[in-house]
Amino acid sequence: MRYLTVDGMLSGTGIRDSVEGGYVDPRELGLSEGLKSQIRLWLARYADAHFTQFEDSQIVAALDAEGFVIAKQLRDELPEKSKVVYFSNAEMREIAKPPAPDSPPPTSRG
Amino acid sequence: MTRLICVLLTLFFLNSPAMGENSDLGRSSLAAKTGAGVADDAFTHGLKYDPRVRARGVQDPSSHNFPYSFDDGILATKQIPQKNGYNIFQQPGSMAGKVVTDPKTGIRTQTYKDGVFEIGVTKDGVIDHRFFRPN
Repeated sequence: MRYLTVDGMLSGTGIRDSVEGGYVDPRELGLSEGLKSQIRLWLARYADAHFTQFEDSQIVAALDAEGFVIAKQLRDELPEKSKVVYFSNAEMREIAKPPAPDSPPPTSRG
Repeated sequence: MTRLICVLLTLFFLNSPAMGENSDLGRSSLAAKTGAGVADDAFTHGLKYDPRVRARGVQDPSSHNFPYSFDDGILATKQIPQKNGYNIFQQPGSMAGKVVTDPKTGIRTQTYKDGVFEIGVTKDGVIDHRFFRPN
């Protein structure tokens, strides 16, 4: 059983080892080219949001919704049984459900 | 032994960005506006840290919780400008990795991983990103 966290941290790989800590290279996980490419593009957009201190809550919500989908796809593609969760780098918390499109903006960001 | 533990604990708390005194030692390039939610540095270097830095250090210490005493050296490197006035500073280095035990001899060996220490500074001069990225 492997425990992984999808996480859009600046300069990370997008996938963190939830137990050992540190980031995992997506190339080592045997993921599809499509998913690896999606993670790369998503990380670049997350980095842009970081550079503006996540001031646009709609962009953050969209990024987190996509990150949630990536976490699900990752779980489906991993060959071994794995638990994959999604952590919002903007909100600094684990998100158990995808953010609703019209959800109110968060009041604080750690 | 007890004395050694006391010394280590003292060093740990002195390294914490949320404790101690704040004094500006002339880091003008990082002169910061102190906004809401920004903690003054305690390591007497006058740096400003966003609370997310500490939160990340607690959450994933292997990537984020390297000693704050490293920051001076990292910030002395040439900045890498990003969008919106954000700057990244990077310095190559190594960090302690796993302790590996030889199954035959039982000898435990500390391994190290090479990589880059990275700090991100907002346009307002607040450090909101500290990260060790292995090669």
